[in-house]
Amino acid sequence: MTAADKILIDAMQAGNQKAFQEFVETYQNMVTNTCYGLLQNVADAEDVTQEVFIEVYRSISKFRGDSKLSTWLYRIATTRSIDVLRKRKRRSMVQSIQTFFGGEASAMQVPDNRSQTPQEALENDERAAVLAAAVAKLPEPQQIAFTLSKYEDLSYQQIAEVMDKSISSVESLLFRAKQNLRKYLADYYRND
Amino acid sequence: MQPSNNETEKPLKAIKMKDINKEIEKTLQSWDDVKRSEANPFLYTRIEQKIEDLETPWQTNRVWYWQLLLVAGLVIFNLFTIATALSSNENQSVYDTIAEQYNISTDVQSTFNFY
Repeated sequence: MTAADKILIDAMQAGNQKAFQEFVETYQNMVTNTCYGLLQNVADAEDVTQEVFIEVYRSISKFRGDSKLSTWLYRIATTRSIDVLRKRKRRSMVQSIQTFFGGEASAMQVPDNRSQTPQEALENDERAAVLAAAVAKLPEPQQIAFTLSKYEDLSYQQIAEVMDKSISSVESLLFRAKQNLRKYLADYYRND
Repeated sequence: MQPSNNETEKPLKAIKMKDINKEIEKTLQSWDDVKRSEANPFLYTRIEQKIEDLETPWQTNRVWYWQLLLVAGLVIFNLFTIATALSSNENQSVYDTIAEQYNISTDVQSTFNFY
């Protein structure tokens, strides 16, 4: 943990509101980017980012500084994002069951947000959408490792710390993620 | 001499596979062009508001509390009224049943007049 982080945490633990604001401003892009990488939806990523910082605010007194502040934040952000992804999957399952039994799809439909990206330039880029859809199909650990590596440029060591795994298992996760992505993309282009 | 179907399919398949692999590589590379997402400029204000709401729910939900209090008051008043009515009805019906079984008048005045 850096000296600046230590000062910030001490101030936050003392209940300093200004310190919390500084903390949010320092880490907001990092958290938003991680959440967006996993969720591929701007609104959801913003909601989860808010939740992440609220959780930090509530549990800052319990933070003992065993890990880096950024590692702790990445952990909360990935856990919260995965929760949202699970909810989405459950909702789409319920929806498909309803459709199967002839019922109309509920009003709470899971929007296909894969085409909505914050990056104007890539909004209509089919490749980005195809890749995002392929990443969404990956198993959760591979998805987290791949997102942290590609979106946040984290090293294997850093990803291992966030995911609480060994470096070799992160290497293998990323290797399998790339293999799976190639497989999904090959299937997509073969059927295209 | 015309080549057999299998012979023409092989190079076509190979070309297609080559194209697919090219597409896959291009798609995987497209990730490198993705720019970092930036946080909403009003993020801190929103977080601050949410924290305030969480810390003082009785203030933000004051109307809701008053409504709940009013409903609770009405329910208690209704229960009290019902309970009072039931207890007087119950007493009355017990006396009436006994009087009916023994063929006794429940009118005290008439009973005295009889004697």
